[in-house]
Amino acid sequence: MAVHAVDPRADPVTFKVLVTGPFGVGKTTLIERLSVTPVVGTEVATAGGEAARKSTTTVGIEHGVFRLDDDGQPVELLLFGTPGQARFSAVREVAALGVDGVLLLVDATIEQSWPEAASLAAPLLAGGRPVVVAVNRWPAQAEPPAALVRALAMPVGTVWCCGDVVDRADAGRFLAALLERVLDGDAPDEPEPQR
Amino acid sequence: MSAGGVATCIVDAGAAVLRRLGRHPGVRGALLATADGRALCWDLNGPSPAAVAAVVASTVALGERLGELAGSAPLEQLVVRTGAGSVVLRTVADGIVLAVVTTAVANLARLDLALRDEMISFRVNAPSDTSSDSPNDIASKHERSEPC
Repeated sequence: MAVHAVDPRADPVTFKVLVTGPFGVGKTTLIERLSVTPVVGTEVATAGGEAARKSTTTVGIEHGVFRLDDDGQPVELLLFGTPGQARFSAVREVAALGVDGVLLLVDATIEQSWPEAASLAAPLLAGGRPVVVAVNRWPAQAEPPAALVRALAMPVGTVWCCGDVVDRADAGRFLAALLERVLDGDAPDEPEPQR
Repeated sequence: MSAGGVATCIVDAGAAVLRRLGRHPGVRGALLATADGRALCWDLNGPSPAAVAAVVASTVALGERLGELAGSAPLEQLVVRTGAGSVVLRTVADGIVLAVVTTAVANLARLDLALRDEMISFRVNAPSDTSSDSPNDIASKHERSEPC
């Protein structure tokens, strides 16, 4: 057996990213599409009404690593996925410890989950962390649906990205946008005026 | 923020602890991570330290929540037993968690005693005024001061 330790001079810079959003919007798919390491999952079979929408759900955390580069510098994003349902708020709080940025994933086609996304985002915004809203199942070139923007009432300056998490390039773009926000450092702090 | 931002004295102390634990009968591996799930040092045969750190830190945090059912006191340890072995989890310093993987026949009581002794190594090596600081604060303090 041999002991290894982190080496800040040799290892890629790492950032911890929370991948969160309501039930069934594609968080697990996104992490599976992007991770260069085997994804650690905590999926179990769903029961009751949730089973009709999806056969499995994440109950603990999910972990994957996405590699990209920032002007030639290798960067690793440690992806921490959370469960989406309200009852798992404790798990989301745990996963959110010490995160450098938040990717809030929403599904443009499931309107009834938007209020849930808004309430899920609220405690995460409190710390003024960099947030990117990734709008799944919406054309990459399009503006996000206006009703969705209103429903989420994100702070001014929040970055929105549209695309489909099934497409690895889109999923990668979501995280590249978040990395840019994290490296910028300044998070928006004023709440959106309309509500 | 990189996990390398944690005070190097914690990582050094941790590496020494891991080496000693590696000689303990029944210990198959160990990992030290920040409470927010970033690996600091490890002696694992195979699994990705980043992934193990994420699961360990999350489990400890959830264990703390679960422990509140028993009353308000700090989490001492969390043990996961399977037919193949055990994983023992502990918070060893503010913001730092330790996981030890053992064989199925390891004597967990003896390991517990060894871990209690090792807690002292962390306390001796950790900066004294860290009761409410995160590891990153510890790091920034140490970048300004002499090594520990």
